[in-house]
Amino acid sequence: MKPLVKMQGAGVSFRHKTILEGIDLAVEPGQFWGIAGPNGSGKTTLVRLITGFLSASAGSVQVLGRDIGRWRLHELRRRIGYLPQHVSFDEGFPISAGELVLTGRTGVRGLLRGYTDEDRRICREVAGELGIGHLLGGPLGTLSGGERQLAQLARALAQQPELLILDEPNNNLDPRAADRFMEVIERLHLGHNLTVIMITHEISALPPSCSHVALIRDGALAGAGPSGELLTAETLSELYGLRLSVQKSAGRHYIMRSEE
Amino acid sequence: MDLAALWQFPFFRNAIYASLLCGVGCASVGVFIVCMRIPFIGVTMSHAAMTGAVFAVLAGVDPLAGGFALALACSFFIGPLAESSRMNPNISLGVIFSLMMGLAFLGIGLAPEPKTEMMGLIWGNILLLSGSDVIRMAVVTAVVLAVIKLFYKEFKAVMFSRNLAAAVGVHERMIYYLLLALCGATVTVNLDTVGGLMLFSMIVNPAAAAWQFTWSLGRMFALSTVLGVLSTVSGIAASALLDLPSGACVVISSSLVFGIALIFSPKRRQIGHG
Repeated sequence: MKPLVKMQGAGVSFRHKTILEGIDLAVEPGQFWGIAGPNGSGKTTLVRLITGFLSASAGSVQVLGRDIGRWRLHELRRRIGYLPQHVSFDEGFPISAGELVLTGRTGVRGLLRGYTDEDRRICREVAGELGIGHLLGGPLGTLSGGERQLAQLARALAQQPELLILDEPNNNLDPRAADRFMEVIERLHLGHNLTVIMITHEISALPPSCSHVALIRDGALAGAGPSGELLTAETLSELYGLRLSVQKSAGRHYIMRSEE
Repeated sequence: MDLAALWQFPFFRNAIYASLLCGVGCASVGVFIVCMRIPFIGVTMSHAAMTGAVFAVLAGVDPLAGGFALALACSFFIGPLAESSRMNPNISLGVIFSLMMGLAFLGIGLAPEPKTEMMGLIWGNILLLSGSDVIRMAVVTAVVLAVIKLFYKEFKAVMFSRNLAAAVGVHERMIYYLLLALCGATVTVNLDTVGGLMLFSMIVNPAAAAWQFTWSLGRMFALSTVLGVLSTVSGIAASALLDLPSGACVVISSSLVFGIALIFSPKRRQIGHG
């Protein structure tokens, strides 16, 4: 089976400064990858390479079976559900939650074509699956942070993506909302065999079904492979530059500072 | 003289038709400017249109063509500038805005007397519009509305968040520049109505007033055009009845509309308690 994402020696330099270098990664269909590392290590840059928001200045990047340079970027992005770290918008913007979800169908439908009944049906189904069907008619600006995040996820899923990319999806959520959000993601991944790449700086945010991780430090890959092999005290201590211990509970990995 | 008596004169009828079209056109593109929070880009473009029109008159060509060309050129220059992270875009826009003003007044200074046409571009000259001017406004306004209808779903995505629009596979950059081009065409064709210096109030005020009352973009477009027409027609009527400058009357009436909307805004309270 062809990998959905394949990077070989991929790197990004900007004004003579290397941001990312030597990234080798192969994400197979149906896998759940966690991209972890300290703040500023280059995690978001990596997914920006996959979505074509940045071009690699070294190495090669293949996405959905094709070299990224051969894609028309808007066509590629229609097939990737991407939840960016910050979606800043004006709270008073005149848009309902349902209209935001429908936005996910905009690229898929293409220019000069209006939304169809099928688009609306897909959005209702996705929202229903995420438990926000009853919120679709209300203004987006009056929803809670957790509800907005679910609406954004519904927007990404309405694209019926082949790959879902989540960039620090729990950042603005309280623990209960974060847990609920990750339960939904896991259900989608396991129930629909959806390939997921999730960026996080917090290892414990990765759900039990996260099968693989890529650890990034200072723009370089510190390790990539099965979660069980890499999420150890030794590799994580090296990754964060701290003495850490790892405890596994209910399939998640929790890291703690070790006593000297 | 009352309004019924004034209606007998073609110049007054043309002025009312023009103010209707100005209200619809400016208030529609105003929704883009207000929703995307880019008023400085809008005001810079309207001054670029004014400057382009002034120099077109100097060169003996159609002011509409000159105004649109410079407004469009300006949008293709300030668009990337506003995206640049090297310098706060408002600083660069401030430089361009004042340059446009300076060039407009230079053009007026270079023009031979009488400078009636030039002054009309700056202060507005709605009572001097001909039937063909009104037809031209109607055509441009119709094209602007048709383009908004054709690309409505893309405009909505880009207005909400340019990053998000790009992420779902919308031709985000093309739609953004199309949006700026529509603003450029609208401000240019309406220069004679309110004048380049004051036109911006007609773009921002009705849309900002409509924003206070609705959570639906479609209704915001509709309400903005109603308030735009209310502002221009009441302003022009007041100007004719009281013998006051038309541009100033329109600015004051649209500002009043916005002020009243702000006082009674239900949305402001909803967001405050959300």
